[in-house]
Amino acid sequence: MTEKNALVLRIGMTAIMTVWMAGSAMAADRISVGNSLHMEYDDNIAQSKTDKIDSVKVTNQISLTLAYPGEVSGVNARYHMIASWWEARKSNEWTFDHLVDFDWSRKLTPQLGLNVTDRFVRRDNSELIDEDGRTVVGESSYLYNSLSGAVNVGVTAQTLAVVSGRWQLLRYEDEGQAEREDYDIYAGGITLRNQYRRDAVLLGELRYEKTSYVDGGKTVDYSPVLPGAEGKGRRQIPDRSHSAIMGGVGLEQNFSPNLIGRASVGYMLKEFDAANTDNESAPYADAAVTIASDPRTRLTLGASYSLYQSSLLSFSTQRRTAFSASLGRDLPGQLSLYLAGTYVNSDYQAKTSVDTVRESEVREGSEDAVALSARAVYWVDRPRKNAIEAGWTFTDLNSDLRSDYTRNRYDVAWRIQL
Amino acid sequence: MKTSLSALLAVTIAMGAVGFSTAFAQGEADVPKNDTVTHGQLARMLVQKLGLTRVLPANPSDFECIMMLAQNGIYPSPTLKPTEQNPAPGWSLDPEAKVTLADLAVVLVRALGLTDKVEGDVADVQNWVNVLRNLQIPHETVTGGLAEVKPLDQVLTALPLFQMSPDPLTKRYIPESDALMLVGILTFPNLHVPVPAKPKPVTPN
Repeated sequence: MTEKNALVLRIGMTAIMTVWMAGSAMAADRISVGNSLHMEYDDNIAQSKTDKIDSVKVTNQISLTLAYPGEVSGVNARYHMIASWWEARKSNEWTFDHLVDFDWSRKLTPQLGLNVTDRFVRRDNSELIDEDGRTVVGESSYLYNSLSGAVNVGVTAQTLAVVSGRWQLLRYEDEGQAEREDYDIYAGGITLRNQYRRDAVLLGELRYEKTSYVDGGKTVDYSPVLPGAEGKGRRQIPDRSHSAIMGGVGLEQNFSPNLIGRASVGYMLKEFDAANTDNESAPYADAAVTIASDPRTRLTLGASYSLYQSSLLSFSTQRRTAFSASLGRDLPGQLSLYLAGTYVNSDYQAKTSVDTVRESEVREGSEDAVALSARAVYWVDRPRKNAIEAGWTFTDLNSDLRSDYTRNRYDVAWRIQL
Repeated sequence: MKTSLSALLAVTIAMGAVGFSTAFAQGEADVPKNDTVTHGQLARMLVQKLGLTRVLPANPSDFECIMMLAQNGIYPSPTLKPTEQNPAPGWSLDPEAKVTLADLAVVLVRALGLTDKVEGDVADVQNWVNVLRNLQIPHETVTGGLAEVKPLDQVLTALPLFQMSPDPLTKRYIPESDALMLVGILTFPNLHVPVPAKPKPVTPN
């Protein structure tokens, strides 16, 4: 067993024991156990434009949830284990994913509150070798963790200051993937919230973020593949590390019983450690509204625009525009319907390319990603969350810089909460 | 790597120990009586009890809790149309707005997934209270009512919003797309651009 796996095991065991001990100490109504069984057909598991490989997988998800709310202090903990069996797969027919969520809040005085959350994911994305011995998808298992803390301080009767900090880390198991993608992100910020009207809160926000790619700048014995500059880069892992500062204002408002929403706008500046430009700045905006046309229907719309972390190794940042919509509707009888869609446009500029390649050798471009999802849920016993479900998820990538693809996934599921 | 992950483990354990011990020490007496609970406070307690905090930023505001509940169809009003008895239906951001017994009954019925059991005129709060009464669910105090609420197994509509945010305190970035679908797996697509996992680079020296 590797050190990393041993650590995962220890964290997992800690989570399970914590939830179990808490469950023993408390009434059973604070613990819930859920299970869902899925069967999925995927028409393009390798996300390829031409060589599509379809696949079936059967997934069972078990979740243990502890919720202990309180006005002075509250605790939530959740352990989620996903076991998957993959059809037509020579290597690792079974994979196991683990998620642990922890949330603790405490009000120290009426004007002072503390909150700590942790999200841990261990994803088992083993190398996929088909029955003909071909490597269809590379190894991309990883650990992800996000630890956040925040302190609320009442400044005046109408104004609250929230001071927050966060540390995210991502660690891949495969050496090559780890060299390119492993990161630590440290962020801190302050938000001022002023209740300027009974139904509205004004926000002022200031944020600082430091993103460090662990192996950025490392010399290697191969030339990393750089989308948009194929074959041009040095034998060095590009360093996309950067720091960012952003500040802005926002509004949260209850416009009517049927409409609530929030929006924020501001300006951000990124300084790059090793790009073909020293820095890049841009305005940012983020907005979302939830509309309830009637008590059985809710529609949420969202949009954002900002500089954002680059998905491509060749660039230190992207300009991202995103829109999303989700609709939930409880139909007469025992049926619910959920629809969701997202559109993301990523724009990559040559001047923000990494410095292991010349700016003039980099092709600029953009990507459009669309994801749609529809899901029907038949509630056998709604209070117990006992349901039969059927769903479809569609994803489409259209890129100037790498291969396009479309992917459809269809699934049926049975879910129950004990 | 080893040091940072070990530190993470230690923090997780410490958080568990401190969190649970203080929560148990506080006990039920933490929860204020019904007549002192505001809409914002009830929304905070509900997102905790429903297990929705995992998809909210650390220390979420009253508004973020209320929006999350609204996205999951949980409102404190039988209908969202103003009536003579209830001229301001829905959640209130007003820090002075107290939760009434009628608000509590409706929220509990929705959070427990019992809306279909409301008989007669849905605009009449008494019919919502009757659902709880028939099932012997406490509904006259926040503490009693919330004790019956179970965590939601999944959040159907909430995931995309906070992943879309440019705010470094809330966004989550994992290059491999399916990762973020683990919680709401097969329910809603992830916002990040899907990146195919690639075989190890094979470039001749």
